[in-house]
Amino acid sequence: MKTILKLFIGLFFTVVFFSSMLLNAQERKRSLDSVQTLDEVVLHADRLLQQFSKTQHKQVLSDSIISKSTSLLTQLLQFNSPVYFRENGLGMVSSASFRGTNAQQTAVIWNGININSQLNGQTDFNTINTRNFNNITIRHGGGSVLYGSGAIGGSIHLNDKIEFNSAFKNQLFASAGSFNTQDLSFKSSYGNDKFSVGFSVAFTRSDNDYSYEFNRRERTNLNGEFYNVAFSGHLGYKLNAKNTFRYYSYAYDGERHFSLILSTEIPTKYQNLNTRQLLEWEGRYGKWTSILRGAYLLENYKYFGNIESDSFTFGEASSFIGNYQLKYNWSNTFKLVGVADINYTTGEGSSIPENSRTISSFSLLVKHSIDKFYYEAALRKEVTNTYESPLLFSLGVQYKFDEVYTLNANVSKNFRIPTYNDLYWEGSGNQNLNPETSYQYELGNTLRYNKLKLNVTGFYNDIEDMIRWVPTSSGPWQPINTDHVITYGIESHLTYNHSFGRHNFGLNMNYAYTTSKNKVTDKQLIYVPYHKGSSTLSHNYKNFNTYWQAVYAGEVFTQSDNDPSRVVEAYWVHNFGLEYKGLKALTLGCKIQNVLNTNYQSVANRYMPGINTNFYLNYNF
Amino acid sequence: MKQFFKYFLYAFALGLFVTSCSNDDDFTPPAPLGDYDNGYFILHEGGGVITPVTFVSEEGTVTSDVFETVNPDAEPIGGFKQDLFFDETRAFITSGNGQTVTVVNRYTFEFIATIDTDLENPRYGAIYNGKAYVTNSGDFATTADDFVTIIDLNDYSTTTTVIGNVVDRIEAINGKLYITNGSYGSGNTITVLNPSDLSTTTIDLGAGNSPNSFELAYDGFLYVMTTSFSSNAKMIKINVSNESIESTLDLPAALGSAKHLDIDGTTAYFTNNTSVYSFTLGSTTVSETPILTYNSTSQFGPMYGFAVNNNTIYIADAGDFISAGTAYEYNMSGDLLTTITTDVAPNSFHFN
Repeated sequence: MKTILKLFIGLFFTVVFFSSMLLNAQERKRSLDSVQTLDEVVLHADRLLQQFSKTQHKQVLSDSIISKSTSLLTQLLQFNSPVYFRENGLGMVSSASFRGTNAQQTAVIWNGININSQLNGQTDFNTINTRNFNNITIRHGGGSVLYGSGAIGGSIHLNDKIEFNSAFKNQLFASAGSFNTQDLSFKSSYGNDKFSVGFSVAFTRSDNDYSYEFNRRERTNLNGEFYNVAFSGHLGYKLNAKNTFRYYSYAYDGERHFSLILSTEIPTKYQNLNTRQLLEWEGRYGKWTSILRGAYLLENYKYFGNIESDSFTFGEASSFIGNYQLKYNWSNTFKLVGVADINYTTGEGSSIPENSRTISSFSLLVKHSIDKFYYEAALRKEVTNTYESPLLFSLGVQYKFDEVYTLNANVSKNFRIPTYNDLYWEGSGNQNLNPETSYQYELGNTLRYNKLKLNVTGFYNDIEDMIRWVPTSSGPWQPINTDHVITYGIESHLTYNHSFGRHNFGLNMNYAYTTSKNKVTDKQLIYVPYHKGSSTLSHNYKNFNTYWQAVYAGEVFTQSDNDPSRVVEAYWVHNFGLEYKGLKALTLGCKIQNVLNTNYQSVANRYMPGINTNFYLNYNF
Repeated sequence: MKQFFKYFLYAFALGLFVTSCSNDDDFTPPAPLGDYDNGYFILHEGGGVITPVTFVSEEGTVTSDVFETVNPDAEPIGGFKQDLFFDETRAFITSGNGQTVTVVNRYTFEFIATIDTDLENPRYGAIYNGKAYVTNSGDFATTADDFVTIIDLNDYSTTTTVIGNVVDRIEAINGKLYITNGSYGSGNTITVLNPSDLSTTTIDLGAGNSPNSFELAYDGFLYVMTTSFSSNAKMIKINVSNESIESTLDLPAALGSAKHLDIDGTTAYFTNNTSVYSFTLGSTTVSETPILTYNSTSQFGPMYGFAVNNNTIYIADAGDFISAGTAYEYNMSGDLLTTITTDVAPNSFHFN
């Protein structure tokens, strides 16, 4: 396995080396258009992602990539990004590690709003059904100035699209596969010059009773079944040339049984209910753009410690968010944005007495292009009575040497605020906690040459005051600001397309090397691999499409002392898919997942499925 | 295959050995009854499916992964291994997460059986008259369903009896089963279970006095260590013949986190944070001067396990609960004798 890894890395860097040689050899004679900053057509509500994230790497996963993956967000990102996931078996609790950070240091953003749980500060990536979204974007690196708590390693953006003047469009997706898995979705949208309306509904279920080998025995994944139903809808209304209203809505209802390691364990289950509403009013008045937004988010979970019993524990939080953005277009090249935000959250749970908190924040953002040079800078200050909030900032600069090479540099201060669990857990909550803070530095190189695009980013992240629950002398565990972690590494992303005759080839590769060390012990954090890579190679000929996906996750330590005998071994997983585009609008596909039938685990003793297949149909009409 | 062959050889050798022993009544020199006789086990609570014990022989040889080495094909034991207890020939390991009691030969550690019926979040166990009695937390949301599983050690069949109050440690004393009703400072009684008719009586330790450990001493009295949120920690002496409190000894206010009562001969030992204290049974005061204070190299999970046996003090340190733990042996003067690396979260010592 190690040799394969070495080969892989070797090959990768050879490619990087030769391509950069080649590119440097080119005469940089092309005339440069001055950096175009025409006001972007607003397609989704996450404006800051479009307008203030130019100096950091963004990866957009389009509909065609989304439809080639299962509906679990974990799977989509596992095969298409350098983000590493620890997953308690397929479909079970899944947490992300982005640039070596922990689960609470990756923010998930829905239409521009941070939706990480108020209760535990993280998003379980298996509680998001990807079929509801037109566009999922991975934004690499710190983004707390724009997106608030948790955007330390990076952020994942789930976006809906509102289009005016668009035809009546429908999409039906249906998939059925091994372990009695069904994955269905239907999307519909229509827009004229005044109105836009659309919705999507997605349903996924699985018996999830795959077999695997554990301790030299063939076993079945017991108590692993799950289902979820998700709805999203949107409305757009153009009052007049200046004023537009948009409304986004989302609801998710899911239940998972948590799979067992041993057959004797008590089967448990977990239910999620999340709803989100967002209303915005955009006004464009000459050089001014004003956006007023109101949102209401609800999250609720129920955990049944024994599925035979009706008793459960729960947590619930609801947030009202008011947000106002005022943008001033000084010129085509210089823009200023001021943001005021207020967030009122109230939450309670079986072990959390009802508590509410109000957090206000004020941000100022500026972006400016000067010929080949561009910079964006932002400041954010929160005001709350719950904790001491630091002044956050970010500064990104970009220099476009020519059409081929662009250099980006970015420095930012980011944070992760204490959660409801941290602050208010009965008998343990610590109301003297401070936010975790991080200083992040990164340098990004982008090379574009014909149909080759390569991005290589080096990053360094110094995270202080990390909150950890520790046993106290009096007995119960309590969270304290204790850990100091340094993460650094390299992320790279390569895309390449090539055509000859009627053959089209596409290659998409990600590779990240990550060191994430506790500064006191100098040990690598548990469940952070040094190496993570993924790759998709696709080929299209006439009506046929084939694709091969691979993911590699390096060995991870399961103990904080980095005991080499207590690890989850590195794994490769390969998928192979074949599609036939029959009529213009109909695609039939077959995908074989884990085609080499690798017996692998993501978390110690939590095995993933071996070879399995699914058939799908994608019909646009 | 190699391992299997080795195992087969072991089994064969052992078979010869056992047969020869059982047929030979004049066999006098006390030969070890297996690889794991004459020494002690350190139980790993762990968080997941990790090896249950580390064995330390009388000579000080440390053996890791005992269970897996002896039983390469056995089902692993589940997480939260709370207790290990013995009868004459067997050892029983409770797994709170696995919902099992695993039975092995106490001397060879050969797997015998897994008991998985009538258990829900099992804690501690005791043996009386051919039966094992195991306390169970049941549904964590309530203590009303807390119960004891009664295991017939002939056929491992099970029955239960509800105690209806938080149940934790259990000991067979004077023909009855004594169960502490205390957990993290709540609950302030001892339940006495009569095994013949499963009737119970309750000994009230006084408001706020939550029991965390107890032991029957040479004098026939049961000593219970309690802590309280509102007053001093105490050692309460119980007369087991009439199941009533004989006397109560207040510990100094500075030792408010007293736990791990272990009586060796006429001396009672206990811990407070990272220090070990002792006093002679019958004393009316307890000194605040410790026998020893150990420096926990890790800032978390100190004194997770503790025992005193044959003039040696044993301390287990759980570190950060996600790395190897450490066990220490000290002499009575507080000098460190040896340091042993264990698996995750060592929580107790069991002398064989």
